[in-house]
Amino acid sequence: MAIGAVVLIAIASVIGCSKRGDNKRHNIGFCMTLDHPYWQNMRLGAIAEGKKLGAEVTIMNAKEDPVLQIQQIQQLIAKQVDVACVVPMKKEPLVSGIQALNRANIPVIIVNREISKGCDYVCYTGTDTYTGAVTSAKILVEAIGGKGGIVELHQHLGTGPEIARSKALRDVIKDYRDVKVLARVPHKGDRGTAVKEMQTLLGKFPKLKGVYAHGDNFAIAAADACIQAGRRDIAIVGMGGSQEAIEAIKIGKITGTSFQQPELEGRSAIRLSVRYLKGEKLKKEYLIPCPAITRENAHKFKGQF
Amino acid sequence: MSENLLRSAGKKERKKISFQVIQTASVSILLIVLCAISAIKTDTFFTWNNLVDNLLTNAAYLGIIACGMTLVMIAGGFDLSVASTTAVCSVVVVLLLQGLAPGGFWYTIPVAILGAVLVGIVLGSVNGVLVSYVGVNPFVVTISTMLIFRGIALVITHGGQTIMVPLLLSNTFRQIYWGRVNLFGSDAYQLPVPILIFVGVFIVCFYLLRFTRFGHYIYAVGGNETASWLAGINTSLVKAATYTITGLTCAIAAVIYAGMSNTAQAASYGGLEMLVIASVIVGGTPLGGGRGSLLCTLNGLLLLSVIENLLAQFGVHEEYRNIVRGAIILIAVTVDVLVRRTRTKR
Repeated sequence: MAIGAVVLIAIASVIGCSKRGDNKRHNIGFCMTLDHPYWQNMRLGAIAEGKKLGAEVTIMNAKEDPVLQIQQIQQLIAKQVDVACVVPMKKEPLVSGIQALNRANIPVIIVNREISKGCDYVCYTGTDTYTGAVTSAKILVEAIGGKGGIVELHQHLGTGPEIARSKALRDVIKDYRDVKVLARVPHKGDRGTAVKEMQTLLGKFPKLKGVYAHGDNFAIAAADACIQAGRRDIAIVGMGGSQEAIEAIKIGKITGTSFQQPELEGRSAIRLSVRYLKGEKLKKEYLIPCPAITRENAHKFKGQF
Repeated sequence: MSENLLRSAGKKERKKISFQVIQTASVSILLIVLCAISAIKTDTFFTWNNLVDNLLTNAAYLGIIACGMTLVMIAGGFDLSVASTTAVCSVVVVLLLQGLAPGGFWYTIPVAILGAVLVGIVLGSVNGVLVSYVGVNPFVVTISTMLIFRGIALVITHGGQTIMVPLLLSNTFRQIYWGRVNLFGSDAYQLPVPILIFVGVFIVCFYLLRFTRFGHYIYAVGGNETASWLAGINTSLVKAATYTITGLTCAIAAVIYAGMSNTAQAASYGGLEMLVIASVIVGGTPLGGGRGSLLCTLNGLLLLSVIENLLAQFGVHEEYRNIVRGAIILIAVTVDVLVRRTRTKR
């Protein structure tokens, strides 16, 4: 048993050394998920910014599970972090978690996703989904020369991004009377389905000029279907700016996309936390712009996910 | 005849108790060492907020299921379906709350909880009947029901949507998790409701296992099923009953979980079964059954919870956590085996 105890103490002291008690450093908890390269980049951004500003960042991985995330929030409360940055896994369940942070008087910064009403937070920071979608919509309208029929491939109805992206399209084509949305098709998950749906649409609308996809994934799937049908003239825009999409833009497979920057989101969250702790007064919302990527400038971008 | 056998089983148990003491002691020492390290290295570990509101509360609902699991495992069984059962029960309780919402608090909430508990009992007994009366291997049965129950949860939520407790009831219902009972008449020391529920479940199970005939039957069945059957114990009934009790404990935990987020999701609680089984095994109840106790499970549960707490307290990076978790559990079990080996050599 003595050997065991020695091994134990050795291990425990190794754990212990990973953090040295320096009370002046800001202690920031970051509740997120890590199951997509998007989040990995956000994490790297947050850690890098924490190093730069001298703050210690504790990343918690909730694996898309709201129940797990509430438990992790409780751990952060117990750890007495100075600020908690939270990417709410689901907007309704997490209200309870944020309320617990409110009760513990820990300021909260909401990152990337929305939260339902019923709790307080300092500010929101995240990708400007609406403006990004406007950027994509403008690329599309320009590519089809301001007239013709387009189709919209959207995500699950009623989710935040879906609403913002649909609104962006409607707002942009308001000024172009000749642009018609022929159909709105919900995506049902995988790319294979998106390809099939696109094939149906191509058959249904022979004069189709453009595709407005709520994501690079569907945009690429739609492009595959168009190429297969011999319709290379159709303009396709996505949203997100994944490396795959950037490569596809370079070879002209899709027309363009708007560039989301998870790394900047992570950096922004940590920077805002530190500013808040220094006593600065913050706005309610800090949005991160999404620049347009088209064939002309695609070589300048490197996908973050 | 039956009493003779039981008495001899009891004697056997007493002989092995010295081993059990060793295991309990090694886990306890590990527990104390870890607590001491965190107390020295961090200033937030020994606070009421961390120990009670965080560590014990999060251990509580895991512990509720672990109580049922201990009975199953002492009887020589195994239950992998607890996470799925919990998912179904939490979905059922929220759906019932939605359906009965116009009925008012005092009618709706008890009925919904009762409904979930009934569902838990039914799901547990499905496992029990398949394992004990049909005679399929518990691993096969529960891994299948794990999938089936998860599927049921997905079907009744129309593909896994998040369902919410109606606003009318949410403030009352959430007290099941977030409610606090004042201790010593002051606000400074409040005991969360889940801990009280856990203590209740623990005492009932402890009584059942230690002081009733049924409890002794559980040990006997786990120790030697054929002998127990020859001695006139209805072994199938005993085994089925342990699975049913586990279903019931899952339902209780599910209600607490639903209160935690005021919502239910079919896809939640992944990996819960492994945490529960790990706390039972680390505590000292072996996979074959016949030995172990609820106090051992409590010990194992506390160890796992302290590890989890420690990882958060020290801010260990997410990618290293599983390694540390695994290493500490391995140490707990290895120390026990090594000590046991040196003992038998003597």
